[in-house]
Amino acid sequence: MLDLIGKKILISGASSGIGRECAIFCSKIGATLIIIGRDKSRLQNTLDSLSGKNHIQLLLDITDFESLESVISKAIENIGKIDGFLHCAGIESTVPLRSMNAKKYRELFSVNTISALELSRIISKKKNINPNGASFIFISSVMGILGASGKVGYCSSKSALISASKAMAVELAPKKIRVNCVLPGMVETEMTKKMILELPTESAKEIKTKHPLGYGETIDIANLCAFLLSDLSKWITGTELVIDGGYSCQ
Amino acid sequence: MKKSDFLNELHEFLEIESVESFNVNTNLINLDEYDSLAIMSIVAFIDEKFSSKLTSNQLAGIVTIKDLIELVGNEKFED
Repeated sequence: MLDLIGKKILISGASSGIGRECAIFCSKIGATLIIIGRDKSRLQNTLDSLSGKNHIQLLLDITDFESLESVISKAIENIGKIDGFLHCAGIESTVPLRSMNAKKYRELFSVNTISALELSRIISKKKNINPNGASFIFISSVMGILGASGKVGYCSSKSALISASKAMAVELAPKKIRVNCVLPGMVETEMTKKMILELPTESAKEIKTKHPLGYGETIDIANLCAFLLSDLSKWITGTELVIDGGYSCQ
Repeated sequence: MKKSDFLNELHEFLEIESVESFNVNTNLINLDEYDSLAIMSIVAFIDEKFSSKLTSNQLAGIVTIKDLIELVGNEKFED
């Protein structure tokens, strides 16, 4: 039976989309959460939607790497040692190579990749992690293993998460920390709706027809993440799980 | 930004080689280089220069560079 009773889980990017849905679902099946987001009212909205009590919300910019450790450690002191970390924070970018530059790559990698690695470093410290084991999940993307026009920056930032999770899975196995990536296809969220609007109409139609089961819902991703955070997946580590309605099987 | 600078930069950015004269009356749709990638590039170009996010639906309505300038807003150009 799937449950997260008694587990303390930290979720980044919890104010919207997949992160918000995962937070709501994890709380529903028993987890106590630290939720992180940048938007005050939307993060509060997520907090108000959670089941159970004693959850903590942290309003912070996860790319403010200097102050990350003190804020996270303090929250963990209050809630107790961590059993799970779910990195949902991420930004989307559809910009052709000729329009990319170092600043844009830095912004993408800071939010999508480096923040995941920094949070993992902080959470995996002995003083912060449950010594009996834990599960880390990075929300990558099916674009982390595929390519598309205008996605050089996005694909590379999401792909880096996959290889980092494999290295981390080996390195953190002695601490009984499992590390996996989830690779969603197109899931309907505010972020992806905005992205579709910016795409040429033909490209948008093409993406939809390439998903045999249609676009996904945030709960589809939350179900898989809950499984990976639970003890039911205790022998799964260092792998990437594609969840894309068939997008990548053609 | 001057319209002439805008034209020059856009010309270079889109790597237009299919027409000799690139001016406000140039028909974008007829250009060999005007494909879905060019549309994405224009969205990125306008965002970078004017901090303005155009949607593809908006861009679908433009034919000439003049239309694009009007979409961005004539007031944002100096001449």
